Amino acid sequence: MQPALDFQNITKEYRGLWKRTPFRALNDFSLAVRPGEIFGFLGPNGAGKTTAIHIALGLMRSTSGGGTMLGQPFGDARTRCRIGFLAENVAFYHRPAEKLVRFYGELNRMGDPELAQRTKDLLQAVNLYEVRKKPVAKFSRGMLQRVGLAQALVNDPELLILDEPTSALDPAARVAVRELLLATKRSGKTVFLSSHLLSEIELICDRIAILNKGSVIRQGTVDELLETHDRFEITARNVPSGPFLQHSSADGSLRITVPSDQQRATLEKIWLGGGEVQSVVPVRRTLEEIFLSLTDAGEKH
Amino acid sequence: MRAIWLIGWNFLREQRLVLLIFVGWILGFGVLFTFLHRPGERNDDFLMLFRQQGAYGVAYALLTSASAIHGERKSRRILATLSKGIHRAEYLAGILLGTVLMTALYFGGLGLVNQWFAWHFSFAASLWPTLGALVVAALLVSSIAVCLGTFLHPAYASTITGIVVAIPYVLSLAFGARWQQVIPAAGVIKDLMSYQFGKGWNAGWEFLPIALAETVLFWLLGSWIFARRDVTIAIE
Repeated sequence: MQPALDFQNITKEYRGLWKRTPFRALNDFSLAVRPGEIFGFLGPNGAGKTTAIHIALGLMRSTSGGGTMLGQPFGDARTRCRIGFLAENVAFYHRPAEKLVRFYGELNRMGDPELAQRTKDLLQAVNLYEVRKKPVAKFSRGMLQRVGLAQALVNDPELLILDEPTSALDPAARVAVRELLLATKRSGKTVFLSSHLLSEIELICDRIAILNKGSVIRQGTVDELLETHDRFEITARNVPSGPFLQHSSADGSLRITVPSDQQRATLEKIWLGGGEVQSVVPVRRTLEEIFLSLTDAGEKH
Repeated sequence: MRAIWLIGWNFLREQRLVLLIFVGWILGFGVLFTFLHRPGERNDDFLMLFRQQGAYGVAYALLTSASAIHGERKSRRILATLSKGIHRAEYLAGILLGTVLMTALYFGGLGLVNQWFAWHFSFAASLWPTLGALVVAALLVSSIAVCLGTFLHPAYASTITGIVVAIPYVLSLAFGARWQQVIPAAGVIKDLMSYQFGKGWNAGWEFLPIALAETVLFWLLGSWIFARRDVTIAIE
């Protein structure tokens, strides 16, 4: 199956006018996003997330490497008619929300009555229909982000690329956006979501990639990333209190986390003492723990 | 074509405040002169206003178009626009269309005010061909400025545009008038400076096909350069 978004060995260097050594924002970066999935794109500030997205959209050119979006080379204008994009720190012309969404829809070659209906539906979905006549210059940052989401979805895109879409939203709006993204996925569309909000990513993404210093350092499904096989949680009952005095409760039940190299010895102790092992499961870390352990953001902590 | 129109109209809309101020400035002169000028007096003041504001109109087009892309990048509005299904060439064509609409309104205002003077103070004036020539000159200058603005800061883009426009005029002083036609914008300004209400535009229209062809050329060149530029890097 052809990836919806496919980055192939992309390197991007920024050359200052007077600087001898270029800054490398992406370093042999490769990533494939499958059709129909919500893909989480994580990384600390400066990791190269936005650079990768802008290269895919043709807003930037890679120094080397390339890729495809919906099967077409990056930067193809016709393909952009089939995608939706919401930029980080979104900025728009100071027009009423409804006219703004229509403007971007028309740039994507849409026309009435489809555009009128789509604009109305989306402004209702992002809870801005009541203020559709109000210029976006008077909108709060959260409202701007919602109108940004509406303009990104106006052409009913096959691939939705979102760069920090919920950073300025209140919890209720965040839930609404989450529902909107899940509905987008249910309709067979692909969502590429770059965010710092790890809890959001953990909740809705099928797969995740973590980017650091311009390269993917880890990727997989949420479960694959969160599970670790270097520590196990053992649950048992009727455990003799002797060897597990500090961990067992009064009724003899036990829940203990042990390193993998001590797993066998611990189980044998429980069995030898007459205890009954109920479960042995890999410890599931939070995405935040993984993110901090893998990236520069973690080093700073 | 629809995308070009949308971008052009939007560009005009974004410039509306400055445009209103400039047109208001001309209208202000209209009101002032209507009350201060005595019937039967020479119309030198009107002529000076017409020539001066005509040249300002071309300079206005130059400065606005030289800073168009920089302003869009700096405000980050360019991201949402260029992420849609449009080519960079369409985007630049939209900016040029917006500049033409803007200058047409400006020169239209200038024409109406001077037409009012001619009617009110009873003198013959053939204004509109001259104003048409100025719109074409403004378009040519804008295409050079937009082309340079794709990769230069507006200050450099507008300065270099001024030099590019001036060079053929300077050459014409040394080597003959035909050099003016190489990039005919400065020639139009020069002819504006010798304009007389009664005589109208008598400099001919040989410059028109050259100016339009060069506009297309600079637009294509600008599009080619812009298509190879990153639009989202820090620009300061």
